[in-house]
Amino acid sequence: MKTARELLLERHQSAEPRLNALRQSVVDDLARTAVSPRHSLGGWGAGMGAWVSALRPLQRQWVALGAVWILAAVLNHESEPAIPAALAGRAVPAPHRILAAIRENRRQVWELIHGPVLPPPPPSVPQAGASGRRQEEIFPVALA
Amino acid sequence: MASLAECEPLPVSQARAGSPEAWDTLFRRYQRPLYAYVFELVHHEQASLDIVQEAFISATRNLGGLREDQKFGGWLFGIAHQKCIQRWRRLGREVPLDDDPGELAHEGCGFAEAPDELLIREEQESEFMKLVNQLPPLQRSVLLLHVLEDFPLEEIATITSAPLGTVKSRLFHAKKALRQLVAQNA
Repeated sequence: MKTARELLLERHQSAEPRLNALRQSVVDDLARTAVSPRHSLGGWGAGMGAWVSALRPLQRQWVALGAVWILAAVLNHESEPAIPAALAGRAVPAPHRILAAIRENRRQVWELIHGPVLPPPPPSVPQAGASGRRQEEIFPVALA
Repeated sequence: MASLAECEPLPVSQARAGSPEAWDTLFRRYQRPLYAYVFELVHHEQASLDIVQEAFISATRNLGGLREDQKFGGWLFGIAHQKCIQRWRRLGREVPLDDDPGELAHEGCGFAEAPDELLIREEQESEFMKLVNQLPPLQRSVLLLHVLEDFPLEEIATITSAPLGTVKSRLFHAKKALRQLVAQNA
């Protein structure tokens, strides 16, 4: 007489060697990942580990490159022009003054491009025969 | 052969700490019952081995999710059970959910007896296995979990993701069929 459990387990006794091999492979994989600490960190750790192992052969080059970067940073810091003390201490002008300065600047540029703007002539009494404007006024009459 | 009375504490906490020896002990303890359970559900040797291996790997990755160490066995069987369901679905077989003849209206219908009380004579063995394989898959699943590991009904309900009443009903009908067989051949 057997219990149902004994019967079921005996029925699958032939699978035992394959189950042992399977168990061994899972445990071996586990032992391998346990030895390597980066696997215990999961995906992120494995990714970092891959980067480290890829960059490790170029260790000297990375050190040299790092030294060059530090030197460049130091030189750049030393050659940076200092802000003049007078400029730094000056107060910022009021906005209306800045606007006036811009307008003046525009005007000067416009004059440079288009010539000086003459102030409008003061109103004066026209002199007979002397002014061009007078001739212009007479000319159509002469044609007629 | 390992008996149901094995009460040695399982090294679950050591396994959680990553000890390969502890995992080896745990897998050694469950490998054959788990394989028997899976095989009697899927009836394919290689598929059963694959499922057991996947269950082992999944257990090593997800042990952190197990709250009670003493429920390791049920938890491992639960992983394997889900993989059997996935295989049924992958093969396009519908998971039979309608094998339930209805929840039992009252308790004490005979599933309280221990699995060891059901003894099978040598001449009944093939008949017994034939009967087990004739049971609807989910009834068979409940019976196997009861017979192989003597899991409590609540744990079987968790493993099979079924309501407790349904589990009781399935086990009652499966055992009734087995008792009839034993009585016929007595």
